[in-house]
Amino acid sequence: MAEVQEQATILKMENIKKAFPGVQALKGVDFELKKGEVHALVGENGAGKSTLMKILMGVYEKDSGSITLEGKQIEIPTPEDAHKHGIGMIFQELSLVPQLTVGENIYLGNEFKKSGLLSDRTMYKKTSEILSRYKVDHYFDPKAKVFSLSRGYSQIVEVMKALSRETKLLVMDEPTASLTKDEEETLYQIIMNLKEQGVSIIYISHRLEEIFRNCDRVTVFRDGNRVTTENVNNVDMEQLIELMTGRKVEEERPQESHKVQVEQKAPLLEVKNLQWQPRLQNVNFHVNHGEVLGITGLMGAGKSEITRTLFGVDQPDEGEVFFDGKEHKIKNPIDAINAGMALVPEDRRYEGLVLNQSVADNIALPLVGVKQNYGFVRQKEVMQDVMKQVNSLGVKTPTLKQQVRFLSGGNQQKVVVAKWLTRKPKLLILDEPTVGVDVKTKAEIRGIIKDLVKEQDRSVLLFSSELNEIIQLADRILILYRGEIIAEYSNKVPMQEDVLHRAIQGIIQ
Amino acid sequence: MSDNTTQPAPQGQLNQGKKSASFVRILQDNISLVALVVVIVFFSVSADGFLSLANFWNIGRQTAVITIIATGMTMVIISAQIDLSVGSTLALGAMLTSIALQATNSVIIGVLVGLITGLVVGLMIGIFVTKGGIPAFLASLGMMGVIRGVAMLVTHTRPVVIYNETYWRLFGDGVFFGFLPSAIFWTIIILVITHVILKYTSLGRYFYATGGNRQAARFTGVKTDLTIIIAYIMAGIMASFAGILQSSRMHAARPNIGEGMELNVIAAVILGGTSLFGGKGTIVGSLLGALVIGSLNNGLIILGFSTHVQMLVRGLVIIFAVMFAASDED
Repeated sequence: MAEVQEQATILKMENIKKAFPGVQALKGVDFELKKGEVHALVGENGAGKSTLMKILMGVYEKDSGSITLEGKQIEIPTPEDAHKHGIGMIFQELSLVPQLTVGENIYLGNEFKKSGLLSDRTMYKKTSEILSRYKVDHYFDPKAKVFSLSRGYSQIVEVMKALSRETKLLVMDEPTASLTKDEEETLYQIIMNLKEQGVSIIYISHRLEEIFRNCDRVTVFRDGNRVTTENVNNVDMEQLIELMTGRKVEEERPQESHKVQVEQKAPLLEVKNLQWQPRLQNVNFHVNHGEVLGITGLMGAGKSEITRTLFGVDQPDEGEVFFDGKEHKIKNPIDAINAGMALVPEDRRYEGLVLNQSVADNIALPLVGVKQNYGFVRQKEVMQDVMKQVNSLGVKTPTLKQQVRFLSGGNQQKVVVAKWLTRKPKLLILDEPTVGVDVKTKAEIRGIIKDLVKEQDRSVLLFSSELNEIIQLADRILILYRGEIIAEYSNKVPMQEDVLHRAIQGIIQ
Repeated sequence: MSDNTTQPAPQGQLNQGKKSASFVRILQDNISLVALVVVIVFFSVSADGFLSLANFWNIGRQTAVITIIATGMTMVIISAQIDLSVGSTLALGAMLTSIALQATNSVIIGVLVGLITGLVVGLMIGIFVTKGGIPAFLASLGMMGVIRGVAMLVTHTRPVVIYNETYWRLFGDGVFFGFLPSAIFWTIIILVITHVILKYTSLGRYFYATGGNRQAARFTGVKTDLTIIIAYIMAGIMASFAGILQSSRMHAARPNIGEGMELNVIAAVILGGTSLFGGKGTIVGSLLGALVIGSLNNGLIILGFSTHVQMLVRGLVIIFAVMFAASDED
């Protein structure tokens, strides 16, 4: 009986195609999920796995292809339809209301009513039932407020919320990215329980070791195609990495070592013993004059934590920063900027741009405090600088007065870069500079970074989880793994992508 | 949060950018001007004596107080803040100025005392909001009560009579250059100063950036806390200066003046196209908004309606005007 059930197919996606302007994100993909299995989706960023999942969740509409759920062909035009069909997704950012209790969150939108009034008793009874059904009732009380729970427990609540709605199929997108080790174990336990209950799970993760622990089968995506689907017992990590990268040798060579004396001068930036528990442990690194230092690692490895502490947005527990020969106490972004650093943050929409203001105003913002007489902005000079940057970076905008929210992701990113170049920083810190950017603009932005170092003698600290980007741009590569720097590679001779792939998984040769 | 996951394709965004400038759209973008024209035309036809030079100066004088406070409030709202205490600050500024005038008979000292009052009030609210983490609405609501209380306490609610002819002429009944009522003169000065600050100084840019995206402004090295504190200080100073004008015209300061003023002022600013969410707005817009409210009050008085009817009509005009105005997100 159990075996028959395991064989039954719950979801079939056939020949799914989806194009975005300038990219064919999915080129006719098949995907099949069996009942009660945990099925991993792997692939590099931009391989198409999240596009496929967004189609399944009703976030994007497919261009062509068919979706069959339990033998019936269905359409999923909106997220509500996905819910109705019993498809749920755990997003990386949680969708809980912190001020409400566990029970209130789980049944938000599905409240229990008794003669028109809410019945808390039924709600908490149902909550207890569902928590004990999945054996998580010992972690927290149904009446606990969500803000009092740790990140990991909140994620469990999120899973329970999805399951309270007759969910048959659950998509988990990088569920462990922000969890501690203990919390991870808890999540794995829950996944086991869900399996026993017959829930089918699609598991997206860049951490391959997790996949071997938790999943039954794995499907590999590359460049908008499905490469293969394998039983996890039939592949090992090496093979998986080969399948993901396609063993492609990077065609594009990184820049030649353009300065012979690079190594001899004292470094521009030196970070010593940076500690920020529990996310960063004893991080040490330096950036030389005129080089690109690439730091890479899996999501949650601590990249954002390094940028935030280095730029003074958050205060670390410990750590010394030497910049341009002097020790700096960086307490806020202004200290960092005055020292000569600039940050292109990961989340350009929320941290990089004032979206409802014009291209010109955004680029001018770091400049208006400098180019001024007694508080009056030297408008002409500022606009000259703005024009210069817009032209040299090739920001595509109808006019300088266009609000930046109307620009494409890539051009928005160029605006963020442009605004910092006006200040001529000695060190440009880039956090995932090409995420969400179309292929063409991606190449342009990478070109800009190369020019900066080569022609303008700036230094760049590049945080990226796109390995080919790191290989293309960086002179040296550091591997960040669970808050520690576990390896350093010279990139003088271009690194093999699969070596890096293994390294970010914690396998150092 | 669904923003992250449902980013529309870039093409769709571009189309939005090239919205055709239809006639309705132009009207919507200039709603305060439209409202002003409608109000003026309506009363010119229906109210005898509305359309005259004398009444024009009248409206200007009556609107001066709202306009002046609105300039400060514009900066506060552009910074994505709100200040409910301006009516109380107006009263306290007037009271302390008058007391100082009585004591010293020096206009300079009196005015300085008044302006410093506004500065201190703004500084306090700004610190509560930025360093104390109190939401702007609550911080300024609390101060609205505190300041009104202090204004009443200083004389145990007795009015303070002012007898200083220089002061009267300078801020109250005087006429400058043979034709310009002093209240209007000062309004123009303040409009110019605040317009220049918003348009041509780095501080002005910081108001917009802080209100538009405080996080991004902070990442760009803008001292967002200081920017917000300065916005509140501007609002406080403008409110107390309005108190000076009002007390000068009445030749006395009463602790209960300016009650409900914050609503008139906020209405004028919003009517003028400043976004309550911050990051957007102009002094010219706020002036137009203030003129709408001023002419509305004036016209209704000429028509013989009571203050209750004025309140009612004003409320309706604000609701319809803002409803008709183009929302930024559509």
